[in-house]
Amino acid sequence: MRQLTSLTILLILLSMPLLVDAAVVTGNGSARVIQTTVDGGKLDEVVNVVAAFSDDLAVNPDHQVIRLQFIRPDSRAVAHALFSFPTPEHGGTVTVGIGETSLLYYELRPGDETKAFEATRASGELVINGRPELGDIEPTVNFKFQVVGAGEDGLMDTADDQLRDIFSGEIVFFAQGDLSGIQYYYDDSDNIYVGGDVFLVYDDGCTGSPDSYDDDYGYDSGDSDDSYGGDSCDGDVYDDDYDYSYDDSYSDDYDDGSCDSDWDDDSGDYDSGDSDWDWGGGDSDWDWDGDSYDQQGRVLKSMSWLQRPPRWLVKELRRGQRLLPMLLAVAILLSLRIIGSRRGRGECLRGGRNE
Amino acid sequence: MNRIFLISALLVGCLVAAAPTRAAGTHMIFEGGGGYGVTDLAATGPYWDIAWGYGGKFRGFPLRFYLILDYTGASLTGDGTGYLHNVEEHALLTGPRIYLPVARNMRIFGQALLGGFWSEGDWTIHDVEHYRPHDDGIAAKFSVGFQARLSQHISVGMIYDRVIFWEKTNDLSVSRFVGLPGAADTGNQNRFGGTVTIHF
Repeated sequence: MRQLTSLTILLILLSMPLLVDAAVVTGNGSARVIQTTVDGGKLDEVVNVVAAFSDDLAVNPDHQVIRLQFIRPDSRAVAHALFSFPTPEHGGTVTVGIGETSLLYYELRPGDETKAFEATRASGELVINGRPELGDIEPTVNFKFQVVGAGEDGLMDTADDQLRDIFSGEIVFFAQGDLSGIQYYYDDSDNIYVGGDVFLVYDDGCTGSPDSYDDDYGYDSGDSDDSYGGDSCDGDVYDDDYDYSYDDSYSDDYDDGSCDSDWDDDSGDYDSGDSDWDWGGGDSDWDWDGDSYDQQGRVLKSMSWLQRPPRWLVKELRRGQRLLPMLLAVAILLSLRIIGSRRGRGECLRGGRNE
Repeated sequence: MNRIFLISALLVGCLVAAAPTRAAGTHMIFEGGGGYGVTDLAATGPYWDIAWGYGGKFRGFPLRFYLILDYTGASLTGDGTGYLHNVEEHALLTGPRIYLPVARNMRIFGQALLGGFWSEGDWTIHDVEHYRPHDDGIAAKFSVGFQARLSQHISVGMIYDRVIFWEKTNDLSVSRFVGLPGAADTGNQNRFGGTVTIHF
């Protein structure tokens, strides 16, 4: 019955649906962004922007995130803008601010771990055309927003407030192809540099469109680097190359026929003589024993590669073990006897008689 | 006095009855454990583990075979330039465990477990950006350990686990999403810990 229960649990676990994630991750793009300030355009520059898109990473699971990374040509700073917004149907215009549909903007300066600029107010809109997880191969976004930072004094609406008006052209999310050379990031050496990784994008776990991206991993999804077989999305994502012809490499080496030190030479549970594997012997075809504390000792006794404890010591220990209940009982009786005698003596003293 | 004698006799009877001259053997184990985990990218933190098993031995062969059902969790933290990464992960696994007695009441064991995991990451980028990716998928755990069976019903031991995750894609994606590919951590980890096992 217990075996049956265990087997049932195992079968339930094995029949759990394969947990394949769909719709992840990052997109990438490139566009030109004009960044301006209100004080005459000292920071007016054309910068590069790299974008990433996700619908599974936001703190709010119902939100998508678009992350923009602005790279200034003079490498004086790298800026980050994050749009987090409720998942739209198939794109559209999203009004953003700091809040439920949020725009987070900050700049980092190479060589300085502190933030050079973090917006405390933001407003604008983001226009999304297409969504990768719905099969749009090259979704695009464009945006315009304004962010305001408190400046070095930490107070808003003072003279050192910093303001950015940022407008983008159309950013195309490259869904496939060689994207090398457009991954920018801020690394340990305090440099902004351009990486060479092919950046990738999106895998829905199923065959056929919309999953035309190559993410170098994952299940059969029609991408170019899919080493798994199967051509459906019905659970046949694993190519069951397994065969169940388990190779039984056990031999009969365990029985050397002698009575010295192999696993076959013991008495009692060890069925000496005919077979070390007592599968067919006795009344049961399946001679399954419990994991006995006691038996373990006797198994080892028969193993020549272990030093046996002295026989007299084993004998004494076993004798002591057998006598233990009796010794305990005697101890309890003596204790009760002593307690009883003390109590009797106390009664005598309280009664004032001592015969 | 008669009452005392009666109680004493009862106690003696119980003790004698509770001490069989030969142990009958056990088929079940319930195990608890915990320790420290380190991912391949050096994220570290504590883990805990509970397991139930059913098994026994074939007559005439010293190995013990168990089917294990294991539930484990870990809370790991990793950091680097520009990021802090915490992850809470849980896994429900099953598979075989094999014991080999090596000395009296001492045994080594190995196990290979397979099952599912679910996890929640918590990323902070540049102290400003926050992401919380959820993942679930397939996990495996390969272990070797040592146990001392202190009595018929109790063992204590030490264990080393190698835990492997597949499909931890969302958590991995964050590092690429934010342009920090060096922060990509598969979560595959080595664990070192201790166990207490009840045999019944």
